[in-house]
Amino acid sequence: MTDSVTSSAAAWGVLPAVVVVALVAVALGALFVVVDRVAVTGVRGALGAPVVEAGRLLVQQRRVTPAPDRLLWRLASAAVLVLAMLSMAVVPVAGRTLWSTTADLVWFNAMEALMWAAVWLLGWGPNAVHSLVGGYRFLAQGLAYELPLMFALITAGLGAGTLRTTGVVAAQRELWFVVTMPAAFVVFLASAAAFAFWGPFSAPAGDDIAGGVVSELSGVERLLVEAGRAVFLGVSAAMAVALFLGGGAGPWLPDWSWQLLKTVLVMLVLVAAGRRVPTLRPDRYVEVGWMVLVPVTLVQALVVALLVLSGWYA
Amino acid sequence: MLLSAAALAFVIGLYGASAALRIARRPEAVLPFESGRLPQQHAVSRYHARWYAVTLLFVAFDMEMVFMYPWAVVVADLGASAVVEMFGFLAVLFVGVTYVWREGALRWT
Amino acid sequence: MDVRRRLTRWALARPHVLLVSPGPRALRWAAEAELDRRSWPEAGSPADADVVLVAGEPGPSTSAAVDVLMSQLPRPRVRIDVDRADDVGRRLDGVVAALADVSGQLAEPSGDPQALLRLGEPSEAGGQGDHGGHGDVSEHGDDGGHGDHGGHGDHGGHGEHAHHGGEVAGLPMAGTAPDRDGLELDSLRVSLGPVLPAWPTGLVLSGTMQGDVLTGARLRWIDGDRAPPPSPDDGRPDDGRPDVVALDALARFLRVAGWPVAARRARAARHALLSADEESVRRGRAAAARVTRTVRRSRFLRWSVRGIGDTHGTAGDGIPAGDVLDRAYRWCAVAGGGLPVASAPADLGALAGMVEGQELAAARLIVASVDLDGAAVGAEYGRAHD
Repeated sequence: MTDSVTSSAAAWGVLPAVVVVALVAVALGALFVVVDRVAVTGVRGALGAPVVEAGRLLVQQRRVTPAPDRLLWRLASAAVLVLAMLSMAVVPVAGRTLWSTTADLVWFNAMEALMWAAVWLLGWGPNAVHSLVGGYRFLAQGLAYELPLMFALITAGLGAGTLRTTGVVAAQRELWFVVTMPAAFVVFLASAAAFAFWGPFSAPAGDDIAGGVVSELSGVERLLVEAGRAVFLGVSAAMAVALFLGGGAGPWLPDWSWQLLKTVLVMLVLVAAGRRVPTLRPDRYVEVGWMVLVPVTLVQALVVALLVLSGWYA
Repeated sequence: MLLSAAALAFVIGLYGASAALRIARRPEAVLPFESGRLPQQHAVSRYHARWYAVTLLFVAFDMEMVFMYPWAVVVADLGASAVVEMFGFLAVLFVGVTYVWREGALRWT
Repeated sequence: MDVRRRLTRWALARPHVLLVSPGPRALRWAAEAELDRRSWPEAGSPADADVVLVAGEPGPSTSAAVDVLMSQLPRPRVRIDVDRADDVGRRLDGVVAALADVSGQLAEPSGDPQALLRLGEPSEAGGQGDHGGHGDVSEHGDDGGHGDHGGHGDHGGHGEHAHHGGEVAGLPMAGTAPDRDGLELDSLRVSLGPVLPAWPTGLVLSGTMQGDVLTGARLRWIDGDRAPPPSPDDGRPDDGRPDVVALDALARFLRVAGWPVAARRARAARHALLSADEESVRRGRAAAARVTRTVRRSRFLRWSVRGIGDTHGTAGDGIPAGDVLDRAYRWCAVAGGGLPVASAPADLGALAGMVEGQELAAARLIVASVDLDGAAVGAEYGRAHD
């Protein structure tokens, strides 16, 4: 991190940097699928799972229901993947983010907030009842996770005194933020599962509503949505490493390998925890989101603010 | 911006791959899934979102959050007064949330 | 074409399967065991499926449902019918080749949803005939002005909602009706079943939805009283073993509750218990004990479903007392050998009363918490239907 150039676009040239970041995003998504598959059905066939499943959806025919909102429906499925890849722009790869602005964390937050529109449209589009119910479930879920997630992001920015991801990583040279911000770390990971509607937060795509928002999707559209969810989860794991686990910091090994190692570790923890519990019903946890998570993350932010005043992070 | 282009190119590439590989070019015209029965009405109705009260609360809080991002950057410079003001304001908001909770608006089933 | 066939074959090596099981439970168990052994996922909806596996002999209405489902699958798609437990593996072996038969897949004509809609639902006893209006099923004293829910698209009577217009693409728009709180809201006619994931094949819940609240719920079996299923072909009288039945019910409940990993563990324990091999039965018992312990200890499950479908202390009509969680714990106890299965299967009328006014997720949990699929030990197969 002695390099003063923090943006990979400036360091490697724009086009190579963009390609690398896009590929890393997809690879993180694939990695997440592998880890998740191992947890659900065991090791056998898990390694090839993302490729084979993508192949299955590529040879599969697409479908269209009567009188769908076709434009918005198709836009929504593409948007899930595009948003997931765009959020990768502010996640450091080998110590540099694709571009470095003064509002990296806001960018990540904005990409995730646009998921509200994408997933709801996904539910609305096909003119089918299960899908519609799924879309609205996602909105209810959003009401619960969005604020705690924002507080978690802000807490990391507060500790570092900057909203630049590389700045947040640099601020952890002495001590990883997870030590002083455990609540923000956990809330961030849980929210990542929530906006990718995965694991305990998969109610919008639940089995009880035949797959909900994805229930009418086949072929390439389904691939876009499933890949988007996986990429979001993979990117969020990498972002959690950058914000709370010191990014690429570590002895002996080069930065990038530490970052990869930590990211895989975060994925393992996320999958192990997420697959251990049933789906949590949005109508129960909206209350918890507001009455427990919001105050907890607020107190977390207050503690960090006081530590900032005391010069702890300086 | 260029990453959006790359992401879009990736999406278009997937569509292209699908067009080249999928065995039936035209999308299948199907009825929406109604557990094997025929749908009786269009599903896109005016949906009764029973949690609408929470959305109002959310909007109120969300507005405030936008100010918190720049605040996070300048806390160290402004010192104690910034922290007191922000958390004082948040405390007031949270009193509102508690009231809403007591009124039962966070439960709808 | 050969490259394409090989590519398709490779890509579809692990097809997703939509299971339709009008036959005896033992046959479904054999099918699920084989799917789990291959790690072929069970599809959630036709869009997700490559294969429709019909386990057992479907009656006329179930047949019609399977035809509709087949028309909803994206290509490549295959339907296989299995009526013997020892046949499942062999039939599934042929699936991948059939899916990769590109020219054969394309030769099959495309479906026409409009034609399907015009044709309407096949008539059946206790079926379509009594769909006109839902005053007869709702407890809320419906106004008579909504007899236009006939469903066949030949009543254009929505003039009172000007912006709704008439029909689009052969279907009317949803009408309005007062909801459970007395508000005038859009109400959408829906049916759950006969074929849904983790739902007893053949059971149909029809009603209306306002938002995700289910009203005017009505439950029945299609194809009337199903004939007593033939005894399992392999001669093992496993269909009614309490521990196996309980694990089956538990697996279904866990799937509806959104806990696929635990559901898979319950199914695995069930498969092992059904094995002829003494050693696997012993392992199955241990696995059953482990999964039921996990379920009983899960604080998250308790928190998420507690209070749903509470009978308020009264048991009856084949529905054990308590809420859905109590009933799930009861399955755990039965699986451990501590309790017998309830002597009578649940009464559909009582069940319909319980799901009335519930939201969709709660209604699914309630239905999944009782024994409906096949009769319990010693009970008759001909069920009372409403």
